[in-house]
Amino acid sequence: MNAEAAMPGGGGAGQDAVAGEIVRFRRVTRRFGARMALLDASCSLGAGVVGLVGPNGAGKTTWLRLAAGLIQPTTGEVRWRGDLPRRHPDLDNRIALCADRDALPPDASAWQLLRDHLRIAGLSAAAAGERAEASLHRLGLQDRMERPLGQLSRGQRQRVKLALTFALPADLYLLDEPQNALDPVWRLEVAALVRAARDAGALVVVSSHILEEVEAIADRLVVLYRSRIVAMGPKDAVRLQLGRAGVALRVEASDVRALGRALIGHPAVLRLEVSEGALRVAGDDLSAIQRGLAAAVLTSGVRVSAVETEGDDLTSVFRALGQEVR
Amino acid sequence: MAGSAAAKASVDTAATAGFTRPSAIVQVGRFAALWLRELARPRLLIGVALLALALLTLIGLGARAQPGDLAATRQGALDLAGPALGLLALALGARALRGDADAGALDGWLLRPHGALALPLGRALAVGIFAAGFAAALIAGVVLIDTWLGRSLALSRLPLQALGFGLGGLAYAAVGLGCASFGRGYVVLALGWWLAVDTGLSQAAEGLESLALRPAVAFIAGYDPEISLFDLDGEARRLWSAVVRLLVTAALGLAAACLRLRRDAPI
Repeated sequence: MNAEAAMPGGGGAGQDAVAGEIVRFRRVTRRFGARMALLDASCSLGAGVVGLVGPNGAGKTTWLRLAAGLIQPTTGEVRWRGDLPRRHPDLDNRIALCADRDALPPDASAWQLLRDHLRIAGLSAAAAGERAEASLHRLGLQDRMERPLGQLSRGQRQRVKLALTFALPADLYLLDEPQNALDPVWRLEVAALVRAARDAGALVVVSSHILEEVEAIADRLVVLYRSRIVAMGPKDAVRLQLGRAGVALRVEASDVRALGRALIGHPAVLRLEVSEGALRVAGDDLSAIQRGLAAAVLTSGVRVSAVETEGDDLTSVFRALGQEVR
Repeated sequence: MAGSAAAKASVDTAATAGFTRPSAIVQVGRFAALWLRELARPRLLIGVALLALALLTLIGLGARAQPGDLAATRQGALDLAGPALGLLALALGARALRGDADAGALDGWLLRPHGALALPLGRALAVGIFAAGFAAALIAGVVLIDTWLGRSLALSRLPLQALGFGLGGLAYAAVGLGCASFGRGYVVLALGWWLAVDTGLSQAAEGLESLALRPAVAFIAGYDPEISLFDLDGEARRLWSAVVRLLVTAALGLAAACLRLRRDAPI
């Protein structure tokens, strides 16, 4: 699959920097010894919220670490804000990473941790202290900022990590599973924080295995599978790719076999399966399948109790795209 | 309970951030200060204090057995304090890098400006200072032992003892950091280096002693202050050679750590 072609407005390999571009991967391959972590990835991302999805081992963390400038490509190049190389002074504190690991020192307090990072980032002691407090307040930790981090719950520690990530304004926020261990209220708050960063002109890349959450937050998607970018672009464009990969209806009815017989030979139906008492009707065109199903219900006279669409959410997008490259 | 999303979800802009890129020296100083605070945790301090107390007890017992032989007492103290200081600084130096690397917190620091270079330098410096503090406590203990036995105090030796133990602590810490940057097998690497180079090799053959840190630390700390420091035809030459040896070892250990951190391989 040509991933560049699936990225409307995105710069591809060999193209010059695109205006407003925050990070660009140009034919990036990264190996760790014999292990291939990312293969020939090209993309150009500007301000917005990008969902980075893929199963474990697909290359998401490698992609994030490359985008953070923590590692370099084996071949290809990564550039920021036009054509800046990593560690360029103009990128100081402009990239923020919220790692997936629960890597907080147990003895330090949240305020101490944030203040230390902000001091190293170049703030004065007073400014660092104030900013640390404000950031922790924003994440609802004002009552717990003096407690040792080891005494906080997992959800509270996750909020400390997010407070650290958002403590300084950045151009590029890289969030690896940011909503881990958060309760529903704080998931909404974090989504609002992500949108606020986007509205301030930043690019926020959200990597998550909770695909529904990514779908709710992201404007665009980058789908990784087996070290490759298999799809990217606006959510709707990725869904169109799903259309090519196939959709299906799962139908529960009084007589699924009779309903299936009525659908045999319909031009929109490519596959029929009966499993666990339900009929699965697969094809390329969802509306054509729905019309065919309506006609089949009328002709067969069966009573339909439930119809579910498969392939309309991100889980199905990923599953279908993964099957395509398998 | 979370407040309203609209109220809290605000992200300020670059213009309001107010940070300036600190100089490399300031970065090193800040990393050193932060790590010194980490080292000042009560559990570690208690452990180190118990180690110092055990060493001083042994030194005191030796001194009491030979109250008139000051040279023997001092040599005994150096023989005990040298390896203890070396192992302590080596272990803390390795921990200064591996602690964050194993926890996954290293990336956060490396994302900060100058992080890759300032972090190993600052942390080695912090461990060196900590080790020098440990040595200072031992020296103070020996002075107390001398006082207890009614012997004359050789306070003129203190500056060179401080120099020897301070530089020694820094060099061992840097070797520990260097070993830690080579991955999870760092314990084997550091202990292997200590046993093979610092302990075994230095006694195996004449000339190989220059590779070891312990004799250098012992020579500086035991240097007779009555001898001129600038008489380069005599003992002073060996003194400065020992100082250079410690500095070069520290530089090599730090260079290894810096290069490994910049090499992009997971450590």
